[in-house]
Amino acid sequence: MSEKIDVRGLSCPLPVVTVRKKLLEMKNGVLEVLVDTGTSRDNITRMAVNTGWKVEAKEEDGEYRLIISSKKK
Amino acid sequence: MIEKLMQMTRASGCAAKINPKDLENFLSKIKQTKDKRLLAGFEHNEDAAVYKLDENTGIVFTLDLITPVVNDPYTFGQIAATNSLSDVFAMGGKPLMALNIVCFPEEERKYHLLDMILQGGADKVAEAGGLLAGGHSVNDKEPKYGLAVVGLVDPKKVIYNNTPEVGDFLILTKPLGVGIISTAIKGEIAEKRVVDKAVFWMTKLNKLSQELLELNIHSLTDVTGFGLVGHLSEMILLSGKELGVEVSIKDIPVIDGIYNYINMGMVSKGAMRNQKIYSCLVEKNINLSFEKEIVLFDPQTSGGLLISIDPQQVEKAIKLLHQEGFAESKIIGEVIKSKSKERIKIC
Repeated sequence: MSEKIDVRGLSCPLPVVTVRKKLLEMKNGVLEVLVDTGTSRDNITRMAVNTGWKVEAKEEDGEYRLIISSKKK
Repeated sequence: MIEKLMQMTRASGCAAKINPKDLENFLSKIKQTKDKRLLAGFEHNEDAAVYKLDENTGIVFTLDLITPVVNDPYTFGQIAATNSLSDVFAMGGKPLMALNIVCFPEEERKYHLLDMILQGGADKVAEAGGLLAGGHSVNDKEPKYGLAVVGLVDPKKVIYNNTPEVGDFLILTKPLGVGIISTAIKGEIAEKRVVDKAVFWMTKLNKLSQELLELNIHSLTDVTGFGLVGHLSEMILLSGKELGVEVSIKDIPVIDGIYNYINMGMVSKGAMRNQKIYSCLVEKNINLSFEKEIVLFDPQTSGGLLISIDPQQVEKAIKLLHQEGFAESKIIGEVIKSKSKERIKIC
């Protein structure tokens, strides 16, 4: 089962900081993140990829759903 | 309890500027006063307004106000004042007198923070040779601080932001990256040695010696909210001539340690916005990684001066800048003739 986190409405750089903390706790698995700006989508993606996660982004009504998963199953 | 100034604010420093395209739109609706005494006004996004009193005397007038970029209130006061005073220096002027402008949340009653902010500002005005003469305050949710500054300039020696000449060399006097570092401070991942470096540069006055100002400087501006590329674009596009610039990426001074913060997602909305607006002007002649490229768009608070100077005098200028404490000043490129849409060539 994946975990979910909603960082919409948070000001920069809190979305990426919040997701980073969550990923450090999880260590592996799948995290679904809701973000409302392109900047946060890009920052979270960059951080996650650079710390060894895979990211898939989907745009939904001007907002974004990021599926972050660990590379090792 | 540790009180963190940056937790009291949303966007920080010059990254909190209104979108330049929207700003242009609003400003175009304001009726502009044409008067031959007004040597610099709205027309080419000058750093400050200049009013000619007589043949030998001009007044430089500017106002700047920013949100916190560091947590320490005294340091923030120094940075905000240095940033405000910079606009006078960027016109070739000398500050005479300044007024505080401050927004602060009354409800929280953290007036000791406000005391420190104002003290930091007052110390910088004194260091710049100006007099602090009053101010104005507003009760506001987010703290903000800055100065309105009046300075003096010889009207014949005003240095505009849009008067570079083909063949000029471009000098940048401070390293880039302070916007990314303040985002990393807010994200609580910034290391002390990197923050110290950023604070050192943000609190360094952009005051140049008379000897430097008397060199053949054709154009001068400070690099702030629109990032290096944004301010370069103003310099060439608003010149009214067919000018471009060729910039060497390896020569652009950057504060050590910022690439790691970029990889950890510490890029401000302001940097992404600047990139979106100005990247259509950029021609990349080399492969640029995201982190190297985004630094060129990073909004700088109290950033360095961008000097367009006669190539004959560039060596002397660099030598003097180094003597005056701008130890990381570098020649970053050259002004060229260009009709191309992509007038900023990165090599």
